[in-house]
Amino acid sequence: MDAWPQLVADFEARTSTGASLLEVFTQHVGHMARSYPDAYFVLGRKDDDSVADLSHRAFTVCAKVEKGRFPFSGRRPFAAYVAEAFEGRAIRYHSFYAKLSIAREILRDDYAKNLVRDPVLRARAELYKAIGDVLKEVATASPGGRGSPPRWRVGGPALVRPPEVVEAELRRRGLATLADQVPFALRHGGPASQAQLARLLGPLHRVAEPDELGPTAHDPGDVALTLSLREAVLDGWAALGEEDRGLLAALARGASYDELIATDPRFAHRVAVTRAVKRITNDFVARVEAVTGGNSSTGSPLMVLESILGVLSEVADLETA
Amino acid sequence: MSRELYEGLEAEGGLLGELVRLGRVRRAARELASDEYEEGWYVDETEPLAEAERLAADDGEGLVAATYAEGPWRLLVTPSPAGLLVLQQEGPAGGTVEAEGAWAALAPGEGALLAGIDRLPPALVVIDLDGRRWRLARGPS
Repeated sequence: MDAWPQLVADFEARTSTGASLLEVFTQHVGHMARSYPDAYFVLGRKDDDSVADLSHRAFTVCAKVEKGRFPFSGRRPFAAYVAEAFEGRAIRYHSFYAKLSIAREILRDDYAKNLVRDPVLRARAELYKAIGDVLKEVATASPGGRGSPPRWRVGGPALVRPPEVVEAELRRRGLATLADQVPFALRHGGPASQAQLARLLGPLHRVAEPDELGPTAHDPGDVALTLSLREAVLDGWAALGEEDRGLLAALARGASYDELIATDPRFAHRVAVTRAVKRITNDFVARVEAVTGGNSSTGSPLMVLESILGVLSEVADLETA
Repeated sequence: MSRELYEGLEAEGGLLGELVRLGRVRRAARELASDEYEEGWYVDETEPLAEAERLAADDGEGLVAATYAEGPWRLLVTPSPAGLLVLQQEGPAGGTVEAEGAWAALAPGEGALLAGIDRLPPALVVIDLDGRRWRLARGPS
């Protein structure tokens, strides 16, 4: 008999502390996570502690966080499992084994953070972005199906070759720029997602794969500086008008120009952008640089820039594209 | 001109330029991680699949294997969380299978993946080495 439904029910009813549930939860999360490389774990290091951390956070989400998507429908996962009398296998599936499970969502988010913090991994994100710029110019996107990213294509149906053959042919022909590589890869490798193209073209640009990397360095930061930065960012934000805040938020979340115009048509005029940038420089950047020292020759440490964006994310939406 | 100004802020330098650059990298990182997540990179389900796949289909349609055949071609197709797993059981080498915008190269006796498709279509298209298109109808499960 599968003990999981009763373990979850007892925890939900507060007739147990959840220790037994957490123990088996962690065993399964460890099994699920065995195929992931370091790059997907907090601090870029996969070890017993980071796997346990992943398990604890997934458990916390299941216990505390309402999830809108199927099959939770706005309920906490553990509450949904009990309400619908899920079998043990279904509980494990939606918690960690499914492609779109709770635990894999956390791995995705940790990987996204590592893609920014690790300089080698960051090259992958920058290559992905550059490929996206080329795709918009030369290819057309079609829906990738439910729960999958769009597929890009050029031209009509053609004989599709395996990725390793396409990569070898790209090398043989000496195609060195993304403007040449991307359409060739789609024409000869068939429709692909932007991430698949990044994986295919990464070796040609000497970009390492996630499983080739060591642990990501982590800077714990300076608490006093962080607090001063926080105050300066909030003061600077308060000093800006609505229009300037909109531009700063768009820049901070990486919005394209077209996305900016869609949300605020006033920025279709150059003078509006120029004036807003000037006010942001005078009223926001100057306040922050008074704290950081504004060393333009060496640039700001990543920790400082992340702290600024972290505080901005509290007052502005930096996630929605 | 305003587009060039906006997009060129990254190269302006200074704190604002650095923030713009980081914002754009963070967005690319989120989208790359999301793509890989949705495509199921590193996903390996070790629990018995039959029940898990049934649960993934919230429309109630059961996910089972099916054969597709026409002319010399015979493919065994099995849905998985990553897409349709296609095994070429019969037919010549060098074919390409297509369904719902996804493509995969075929090899006799080997598996291929039509990524991003989560349910069995009524038919598949195979293009052989001569460029001839074959429409393979779905047979019995």
